[in-house]
Amino acid sequence: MTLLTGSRVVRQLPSLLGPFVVLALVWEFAAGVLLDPRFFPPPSVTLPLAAELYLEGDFLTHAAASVRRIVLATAIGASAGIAVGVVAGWSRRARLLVNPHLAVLYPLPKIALLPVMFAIFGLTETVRVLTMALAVFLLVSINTMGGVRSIEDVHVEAALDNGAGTLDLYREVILPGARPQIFSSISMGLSVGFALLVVIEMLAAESGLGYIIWNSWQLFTIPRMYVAVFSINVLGVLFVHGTEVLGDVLTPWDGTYQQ
Amino acid sequence: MEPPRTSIDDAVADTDTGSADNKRSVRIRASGIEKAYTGQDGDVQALSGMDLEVYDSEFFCLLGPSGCGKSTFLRLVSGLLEADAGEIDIQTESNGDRPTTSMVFQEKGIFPWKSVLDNVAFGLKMRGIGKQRRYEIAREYIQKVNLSEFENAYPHQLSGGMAQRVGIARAFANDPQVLLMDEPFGDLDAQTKRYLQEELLSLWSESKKTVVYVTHDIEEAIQLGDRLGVMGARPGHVKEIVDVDLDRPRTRENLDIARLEALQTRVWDVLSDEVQRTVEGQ
Repeated sequence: MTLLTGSRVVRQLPSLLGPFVVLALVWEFAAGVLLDPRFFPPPSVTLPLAAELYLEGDFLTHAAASVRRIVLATAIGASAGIAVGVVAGWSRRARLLVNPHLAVLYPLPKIALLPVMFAIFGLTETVRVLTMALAVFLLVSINTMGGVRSIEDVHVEAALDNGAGTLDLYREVILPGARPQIFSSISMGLSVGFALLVVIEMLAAESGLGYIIWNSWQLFTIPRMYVAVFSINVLGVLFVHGTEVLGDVLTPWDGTYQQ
Repeated sequence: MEPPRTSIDDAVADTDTGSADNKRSVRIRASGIEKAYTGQDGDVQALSGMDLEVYDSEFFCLLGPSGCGKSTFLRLVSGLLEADAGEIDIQTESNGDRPTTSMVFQEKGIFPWKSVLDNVAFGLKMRGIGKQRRYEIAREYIQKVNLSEFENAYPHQLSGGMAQRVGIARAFANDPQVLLMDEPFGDLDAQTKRYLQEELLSLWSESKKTVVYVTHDIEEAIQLGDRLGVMGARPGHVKEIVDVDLDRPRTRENLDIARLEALQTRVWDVLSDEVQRTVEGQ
C-alpha cells in the first residue's frame, strides 16, 4: 500500500469522484425543470435501475464482454508494440524498414479498416479485438521507439563497460529506459481503444456496453442507455488511470512518484 | 615522492622494459594509435601516432584542450572503441576475475532507473555475483563515499556531486585493475570538486590502483596526478610528459607553491599554442 500511496494518480483519485457527484446533483435538481426527463432521466431513476440491471439483468455479461475485448486488444497491441518499438528503436536498419509503415498507418482512423477486416476474417470477435489492438500497437510501438532512442549513449556505454551482454543491455538499460514512455503510451492506447470499442460494439456486435447504448437508443429505453454510458465511463477511468498508477509504481525514478 | 613498488613489480619492469633507468613496471602501453571518426563532413582523425606508457599504480592525468581526443583514447583503453591501427597492451594480473578496466563517466554515467545501491552493484551483477554478496560489497563502497543514508535513493534525488560519487563507488566496487576517469568532476562547482578530489585520492591511496584521469583543467591535473600527459590536438597525440614532483598529500600547508607555479607555467606553455590553434580553427 505504501507503494500505491506514493503514486501521483492515486493521490488525485478522490478528486476524480468530484465530477460524478457534481453532475449527479445538478442533474437531479434540473430534471423536470430544465431537462426533459424522457431524454435526461435523473440519477434517482438511473441509479436504482443500474443496481437492478447489474444484479438481476444481463449488464454484468455485457460489461464483461467489453472488458474482455479491451483487455485482449491492449495485451496483444501493447506486447507487439513493445517488441517492435524496442527493436526498431535500437536498430537503425529495423527502424528504416518499419518506420514508413507506422507513419502511414498511424494517422488512419482504424475504424475505417473495420469492413476490410471483416472481409478478411469474417464477422468475428477476432476482427473486433484486432482492430482495437492495431490502434494500441501503433501508439505503443511509436512511443516505445521514441523512448528507446531517447536513452543516452553514456548509459549504454556504462552498461557495456560494466560487462553487460546483449541480453543484459535489453533488460537493464533499454527496457527500463523506455518504460515511462511505454506506460504512458499504453494509457493513451487504452483511451483510443475505448473509443473504438464503443463504435465497434454499436456497429458490429451483439454484446458489450456499446451495443447496449445503441440498442437502448433505438428501443428508446433511455435510462438503460445512461446506465451503459456511465458504465463505460467508469471502466475507462479505471483502466486509463489504473495504467498510469501502475506506470508510476513501476518507474519510481521518473520524478512523478514520491515516497 | 614515488609510491613504494613491490620487488615483483620491479622484476617485471626489468624484464619488460629492459631499461636500466626505468624501474617502474608499465601497466598500459599504447603505441602508434590511429583512430578516425566518420562525421558529417567526412572522416575526422581523432588520434594519430599516439604513444603512451602508464606505470603500474600511478595516477596518470591526460590533459588537453577539448576535442584533442583524450576521451577517445580512454574509450580505446576500455575497449568501448577499437583503434584503426596501433596497439594497446594492458598488463593484467592472472588471479581472480577482476575486470581489466572500469570507467567513471563525465556526467549522467549512472542509471536513472536504478537506486544508488543497484547502480553501485551493477558491475558485480553483470559478473554474476549473487545478490547478497554484491550488495555487501556495494554497501562497503557506498559507505566509503559517504552515501550510506542514500542507498535507496534514485539519481534524480541526488545532487551532481553525490551522483558522481555513486559513479566512483561503482568503479571501485568492480575492483578493476585499471581505473579510467573521463572528466568526472567537470560539471561540478569548485568546492564540491575539491572535496571529491580529496575523497578520490584517499580511495586511490587505499587501493593503489592504476588510474588514467582525463581532464582539461591544468590545476586539477597537477593536484591529482603523479605524471601528466599533455596532449596536442588535430589529430590527438601526446606532446609531452610532465612529472609532478610534488609531495602528497598536496594540502595547502604542505604544498610547494613555487614548484606548483613552475609546473603550471610549463604545462600552460605546452598547451597554449595548442589551445590557440584549436580556438582559431573554430
